[in-house]
Amino acid sequence: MSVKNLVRANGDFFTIDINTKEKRFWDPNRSKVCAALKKGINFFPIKEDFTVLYLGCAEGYTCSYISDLVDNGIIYGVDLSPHSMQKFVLLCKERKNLVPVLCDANKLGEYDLLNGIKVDLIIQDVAQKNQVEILNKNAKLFLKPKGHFILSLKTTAISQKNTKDIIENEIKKLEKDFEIIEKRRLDPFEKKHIIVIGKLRS
Amino acid sequence: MNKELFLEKTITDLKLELESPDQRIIAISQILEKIPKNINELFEGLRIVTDTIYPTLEKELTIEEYCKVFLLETITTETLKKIGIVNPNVKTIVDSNVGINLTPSEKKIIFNLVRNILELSEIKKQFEEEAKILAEKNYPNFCFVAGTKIACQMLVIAGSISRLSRMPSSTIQLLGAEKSLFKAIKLNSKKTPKYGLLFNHALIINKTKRDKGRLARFLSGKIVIAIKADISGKDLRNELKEKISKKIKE
Repeated sequence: MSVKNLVRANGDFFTIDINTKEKRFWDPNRSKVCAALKKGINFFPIKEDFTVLYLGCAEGYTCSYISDLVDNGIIYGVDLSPHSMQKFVLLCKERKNLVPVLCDANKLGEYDLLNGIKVDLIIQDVAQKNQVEILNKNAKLFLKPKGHFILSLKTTAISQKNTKDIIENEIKKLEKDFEIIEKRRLDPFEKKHIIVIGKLRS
Repeated sequence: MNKELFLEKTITDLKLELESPDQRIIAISQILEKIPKNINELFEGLRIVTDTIYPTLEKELTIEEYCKVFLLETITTETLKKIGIVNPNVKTIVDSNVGINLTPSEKKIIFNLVRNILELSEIKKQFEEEAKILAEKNYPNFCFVAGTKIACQMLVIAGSISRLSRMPSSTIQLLGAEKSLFKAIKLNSKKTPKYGLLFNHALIINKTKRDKGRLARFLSGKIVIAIKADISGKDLRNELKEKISKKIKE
């Protein structure tokens, strides 16, 4: 899968030129959002002028591709680790629509600069035990009414028991506040992962 | 929305976190774990050749002393004394003349290898001193109870001092023994580990097996108190010393 490139070709990434438009290769083994697209999901809520909150951006591999998709919008990348944040800050200086936030995803309400900001989409990729809680908390704070979310759920982070039971349990928790549109296992690319796409009930 | 504000704040936060003393100690002690392996590997390589020159010499000397012997041009009792070797067995082994003779070019290569090993062990000493100064300045109570070396290793496993301070004493008792603990839980066996990194503690290492478990449990409790005292900036060294000496007498 390949995506058009906003910034000129960088040495680290593999690039292809088709009809003078530059394109970049997106690796489904490294990015869970790409793996979901490769599995053929029917609904993918991204438009050109969206503002996005990305929880768990790490070094910004997936973030850089989403910043290509969201031309006129803004992406807030949140991560806790200072070591990977150093690399993300370098990426932010290169791409004009990426913004770094060094904070715990549990305590995003205490971050002063984010006060009063509303987003269209939350992408969450933090492998934690209370993943659904984190999504709920941040959706109340930042998500616009009828805003969307993309959640990549790592079942082994919750418990080592039967994968199907865990997924049922977590989706029940989600259905209190959200309307679930699409869910899909990422099996050949990521083991015991599921991606859930949904919408906030107003 | 102002992007510059976000960038400034994240960069200052980054520096605050990475420049804190616990992160520096962790970085230094991670390097310290790797250097001894390199020294041992190089030393083994050196001995392939030098064993044929002076056999059984390595039994009498430490690694550093062994290397220093090969830096000498002529080996007599006086020159050996200059580098601090008094052991008479060394002289007899050198004089026995069982080994092979080397060409000058081979001697040059071995000379360089020996110098490399000595340099590495010098670097190791410098890092150890640096870690000791940093740890004892910032966490005096913790280093007093656990010992500087074990304190640094615990920080590496925990990741940061704030995470270590939130751990219960039972977790600290088994820090470093995760593999055997989870193996015991998986097999449902009653042979759970009683100590992890604390096994190398100066008070525990020469006790009987029964006392080792008891003392490890007791010390991990005191370590928790010491870490919390360090964070709040108090000095409890005298009280802790009394309690520990009282327990040992029992």
